[in-house]
This record gives sequence, C-alpha cells and structure tokens, in this order.
Amino acid sequence: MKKSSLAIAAASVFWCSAGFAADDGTPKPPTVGSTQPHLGNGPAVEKSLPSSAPSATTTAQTGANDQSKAVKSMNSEAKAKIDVEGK
Amino acid sequence: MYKTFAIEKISRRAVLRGLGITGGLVVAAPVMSRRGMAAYVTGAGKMPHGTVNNPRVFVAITPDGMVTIIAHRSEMGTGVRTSLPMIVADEMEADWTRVQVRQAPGDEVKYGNQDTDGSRSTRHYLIPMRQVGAAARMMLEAAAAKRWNVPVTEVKAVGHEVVHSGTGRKLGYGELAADAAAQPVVAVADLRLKDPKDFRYIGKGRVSIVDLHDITTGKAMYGSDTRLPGLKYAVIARPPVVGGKLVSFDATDAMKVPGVEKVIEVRGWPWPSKFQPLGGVAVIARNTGAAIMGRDALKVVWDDGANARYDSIAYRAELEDAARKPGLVVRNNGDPEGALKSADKVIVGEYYLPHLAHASMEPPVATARVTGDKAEIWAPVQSPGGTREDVAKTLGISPENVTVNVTLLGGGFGRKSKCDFALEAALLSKAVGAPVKVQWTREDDVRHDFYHTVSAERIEAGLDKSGKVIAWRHRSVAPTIASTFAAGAKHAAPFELGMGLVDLPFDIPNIRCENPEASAYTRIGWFRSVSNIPRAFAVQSMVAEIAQQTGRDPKDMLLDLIGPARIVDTGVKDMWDYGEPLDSYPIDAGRLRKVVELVADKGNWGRSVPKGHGLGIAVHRSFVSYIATIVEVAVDGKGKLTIPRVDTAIDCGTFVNPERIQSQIEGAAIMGLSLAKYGEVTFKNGRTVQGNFDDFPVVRIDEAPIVTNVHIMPAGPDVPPSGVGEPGLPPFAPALCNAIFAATGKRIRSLPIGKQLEST
Repeated sequence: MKKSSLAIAAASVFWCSAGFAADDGTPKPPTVGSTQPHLGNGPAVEKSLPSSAPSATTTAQTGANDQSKAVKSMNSEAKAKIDVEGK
Repeated sequence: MYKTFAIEKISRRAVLRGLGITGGLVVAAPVMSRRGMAAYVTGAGKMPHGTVNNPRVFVAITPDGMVTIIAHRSEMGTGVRTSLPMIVADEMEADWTRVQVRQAPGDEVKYGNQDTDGSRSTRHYLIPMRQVGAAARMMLEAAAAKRWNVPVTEVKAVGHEVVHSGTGRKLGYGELAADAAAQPVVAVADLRLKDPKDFRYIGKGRVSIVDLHDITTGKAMYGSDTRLPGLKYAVIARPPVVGGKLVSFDATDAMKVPGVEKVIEVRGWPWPSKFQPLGGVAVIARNTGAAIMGRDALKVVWDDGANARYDSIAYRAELEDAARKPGLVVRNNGDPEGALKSADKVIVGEYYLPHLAHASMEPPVATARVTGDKAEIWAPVQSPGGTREDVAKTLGISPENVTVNVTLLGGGFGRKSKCDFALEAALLSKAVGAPVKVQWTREDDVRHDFYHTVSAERIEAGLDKSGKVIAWRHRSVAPTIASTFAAGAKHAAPFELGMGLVDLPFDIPNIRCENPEASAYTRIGWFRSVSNIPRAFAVQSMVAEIAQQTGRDPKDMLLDLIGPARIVDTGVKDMWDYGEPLDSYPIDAGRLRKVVELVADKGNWGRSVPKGHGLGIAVHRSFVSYIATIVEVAVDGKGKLTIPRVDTAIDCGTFVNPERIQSQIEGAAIMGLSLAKYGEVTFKNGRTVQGNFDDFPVVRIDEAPIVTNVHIMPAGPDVPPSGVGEPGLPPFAPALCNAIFAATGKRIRSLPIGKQLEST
C-alpha cells in the first residue's frame, strides 16, 4: 500500500541519516524476536513534581474555573450546543 | 468471507399512533408530498446553521456536461461523500458516470451544518439534497423550454438531457448549463420531487463509493498526505495527566537529532477547555521521523495537577458503590420502589464497561499555514465548521479568514469531532512562521484521547409469582461528556440520558431510572454510539438473565418486555430523542418488535448448534433506528472464542444506499467484537496505561465473524430516515455475551471479555 510504503521508505531514510547502525556493508539477518523499534513512545526522561492530588472519587469537584474569557466562552457555547445537538 | 445483505420482502408496517392502545391504532403514515416540502419534520433546523437547499451552492455543470456536486459532510468510511451527492444526482436526473464530487471546505454559513456525527447526515439531508436536485432539474427544464420556445410542461429531464415530448428534440445538460444557471432558483413550494418509483440510485445499492478507486490504489488523500512548500513536521510531548502542565524541559539532546530544527513550548489551557490543546513541548523537524526521535530525546518535568491519582481500579469500586445507592431520578413511572419490595423475586445485574479509545486507523493529524491574520488548515475533521470557528478564536482572527480543507478521514468514531490537533498545528505554524504538520503517533492517540466514558450499570428487576416483570430500576453512573466543557459536571447531560436509559421501551408498569454522581478525571468525549454502548449491554444482558432465571426463551422474553406495538410514552418531560421531534421519530415498540422478529426469522433463532456453540440475541433503538442482532459463538475447551455467524436486522426508515448499510453493520460487528474482547483503557497515577495495539488490541482477520448477514427492513418514502453509522454497535456486545452464556454457562458482566473465558 502506498502509505505503508511511504512510511517504510521514510523510516529507512531516517534510520540511515541518523546513523543508528554502524553498517559495514555486510548483509545481516533481521533481528529476531521484536519488530518494535521502541520509537515514538515519548520523552525518554519524564519526571513529575511530587503531587498532593486527592483521590479520584465520584463526588469530588473536578476541573478548573480559572480559564481565560475566551475559553470560558467556548466552553459555555459548547455546553449549550450539546444540549441541542447531543453531539 | 461469505456475506449477504437483503432488503426483506415484508409488508410495510404503518406508523402506529395509538398511544397505550394494545395493537395500536393504525392511521395513515405521513406521505411524502410530491411537492417540495417534506411531510415530516426533522431536527435539522435546530442544528447550528441549519440546512441549505440552494442548488447554486451544491451543483455546477460545465459545457461538456460534467456535473459537479459538493459534498459538505466528511468521509470517514460511512460513504456519506457518495450518498448525499447521489441523492442530488438522482433527483436531477444526472447520469452518475458523468458526476464528480468535490469536498466542501468548512463554511456552515454557505453549506449549512457540517457536523458529521450523530448518524444524522442522511436523516437531516435527504430532503434538502432532493430539493437541491429537483431545483437543478427544473432549472434545466426551464432553460430548454425557453430555448425551444415551448411550454415547460412539454419538456422533461431524463438521463442527463432534457427531451421535448412533442418533437423528440434533446439537449444535453452541458448545452443547457449556462442558460440554466441564469434561471431563478425554484422556490421550495414549487418544486416537483420525483416519484420514488422512478429513483435510479436511491435505495438501489448499485453505486460504489466515489473514493473506492483512489482508496484501493493508494491515491486517496488523507490527513497525513498533505504536502506544502516549506512544510515543517511536528510531534508534541503532552502532559501525561489531563489537567497537568509543563514545568521545564531540556532540549539539548533533542536538538542533536539530525533534522530537528526547533523545540518550543505549546501553550496549554486549564482543563476543561473544550477542544483546546493539552499543551506541552513541540519538536519541529524536517520530517516526522526526526521529530519523533527528537521528542524521544527530550527531558521533561511535569506538574501532574489535580488528576494525578486517577486510578481505574479504585475508581471502578467508586462507580460500583455509587450504583448501589440512590441517585438523581431521571425517569419514574408507577411505584418501582414499592413494586420491588413486594416482588416475588428480584433479579439484580451489575455491569461494568471501561474507558475506550477511538484508535481510528489514521491517528489525528493536521497541517496549518498561518500567515498574518489568515489561516489555512488541511485536516481529517468531522466538524469543519466547528474547526474553523475554534481556529479563529484560538488565533484571535475572523472565521472568514480561516479556510478548513477537509481530507478523507481514516476513521473517526467521534474522535475527529474534536479539533485539538488542528489547533495545535495552527498555533505552531503561527509560532514558527511556516506551514506545520502535527502528526500524532498511535501512542499519542491512545494516551491523549477524549475517551469513551467508564460506567457502572445496575439493574434490579422485580418479578411477580407468574414470572412477569413488574418493576425495573436502572442506575447508570458514568462521567459525563459535559465535563469536557464544564468544571464540576457530575450528572449525565440530557442527550446521554436519552441514549438507552430514560428511553427504555419496555412495557413494565413500574420503572425508575437513576443517575448517581460521577466526577471526571480525564477528557470524556463522543465515541461511536456513545452512552448506548453501556446501556444496551446492561439492559439486553439483563433480559437474558431474567429469561434464564425464569426458564424462558430469550427472544420470547425480549418480546414480552417490549410488549405490544405502540408508541412508548416514557413520561419524561422534554426527553432528548437524538435531537429529533418525537412526532416524527416516536419510540415505536412495533418497529422494535419487527426487527426482533425479522432477525429471529432470518437468523433462524432456535436452530440447533454444535456443542460449545451458543446463540445470543439483543435489540436496541438508537439514533432513532431499530436494530436487532443474533450472534452465534463457538467457545472451545481452552476458552478460545470464534464467531461463526452474525445476523443483524435494521429498520432505519427510508434509506439511500443499502450497500453502505451493509458495510456499516459489518463494521459494527467487527468493532463491537474488538471492543467486547479487548477494549479497555485504564489509568494509573492519572496516566493512561495503554499506548498501542499491543495493549489495546483490535481483532484480526482470523477472529472476525465468518458470516455477517444484514437484513434491511424495507421502507417507503413516507418513513423518515434514521441513523446507520452508529446503531449497529450497541446490540452487538450483549448479543455476543448472551451467546457466550448459552454456549458455556458463563455470564459476562464486565467488559472486556479478556481472559474471562479461560476458566470455562
């Protein structure tokens, strides 16, 4: 399929340009056991500040009210819209 | 794979209007006038920007006779980009082989409402599209009559040309194009719609989708296929917890990745903020691969915010506990509390359904080019008009300065009704001063979705000594989609209540529906069929449980609960009925019965099946359509589940393209099986646990139903059209699990099925 081919081609170009494999020109068999390149999982190093967040209960008050005027307006318009449209 | 669909040869049932009268009082159904006005009213007029039926907006004819018809709805696999233009072509007597379809940009002032969701494109646009076609045909006829200097009554448009009855002279549409364009647009009241018996395309199932060739040859343009001069490619590291925000980041290693050009912060908004981006860190590069590698090399510190302790295991216990306590009463008929207390037997069913991710094959992607006070977007969006407005508001520019070009959608399921990915692209393009494509990876898609809600459903049924159900109490508790727009929203919105809860069509004297509180800790959004998924699963599983405990046949039990043909009065004031007026789209128990009887007949309900096989049945009304499904399962000694056969009967009123009805029902069976077997998104420490198809699987070809038969209830033009895209999904899971019970004795009350069958 075109999209798959493009994706494979793009990945190939990328892998070469990134210099991941020290290629000595000798044909090598594909790595056995995993086809996942561990690519695209997000930042390698992610940390979070210590949290004092409360437990998630069904009755807690959630969500912020300190939105900008523009977002408040978009929220209220969207809320009014779903009351008519449903979705 | 063997599959069939058929439009059944059944005498058309009339619309029943005998409220509460056994057997129904049959009166003449509203008949579509041949004049331009529809005999029934839909909710289309209440939609933002309503409908447009001006042929000058939707039709163009060139001198070579090529007819161009505008598709203003988005194509995500339903075939709507074919079906709506096909209606126009049929009504204007155009030859489909000489028609081309062009996609409209987002402009609801010009085209009317463009929200491609709610399974309502055909139901809201069948009449307007017929009016467009009829007006175009009559303008062509008027032009020919004027050319020949004959009364217009002597000419008739037939098959892409206008013929003079007296002389047999003919003029092609191309020859008449310029003169027809100069004709005044015919007023709706003066339109002559075709007699439905003369339809060439509507209801015939002979037309392939216009994109079929391009899709199957790789030429079709999806969101990712957009290329612009100077285009930059971006991926974004988003806060892992909804409501979280960026504290700091180190882009040193990211900038070392060949191809990475820039790393910048993306603004986020406090949650809830409609469809505004979550914010985070964007890596801008010369290609998507480099951007992804650059993001992988980032070092980021987050503040997870107030939702950092959202944990699916603990929250499930909260939901189930809430379902065992009284909640907000949203429907009450009779004295359900008293009836439950005095019942000879009370059967209780508790059901749980997890969050789901849309996981459309094409993850979100958008390209934006912002220059000065103008913006142009290329994106696979279900709501191009809404996207236009939100881009304008986010950038602080006029909507007239925003152009939204709609690509094909590689699936949508409601995810692409939210335009956050287009807003990201617009913000980044403005920031870097170049066109930018924002590509979401599968992990981005699964981890930062507007998820289908998580829910606990508890039903108590009280039976008298004879086994008749005399009381029904259904508590449905789930975070609401309204929480995406309103802080502190804890109860279901009216439209959610109307999806399988308060619209219960059963003939039970004492009914109570309750909706306990449920706070949201992540973004909740529309998902194909929305709240109908958990409600249908609970209600239709409960029916089978009652049948089993009373020794009844499940199909007979179901028909008994539906009761006689009648219009159901729920007693709920201003009940939301998919945005439609109840006069046009009442809850018709007769139609519900008919699809049960049809699927039972065609699906050979009660047939003997081999050991380890079982049959399950379920029915549900959603999006004002009626659908019943029978699933046959086979479960081997190791708990391996296969699906030898599925039969589904659908009554969707007047229909346009039965071939697409078939494909939507087949798709619903496969999607329904995927979700029932595997679909589950969970949270730990506020973060989505799953990320790709290794831990959020979909069924493979060897697991798909071997046979899917689709049986379409015939309908005349008198019956208002209703939804097709979504209604196939809700009855599938309960029919499947009822079949599993029949095969194994194992009752599945919690989805996904996962490994629950391994112990059978």
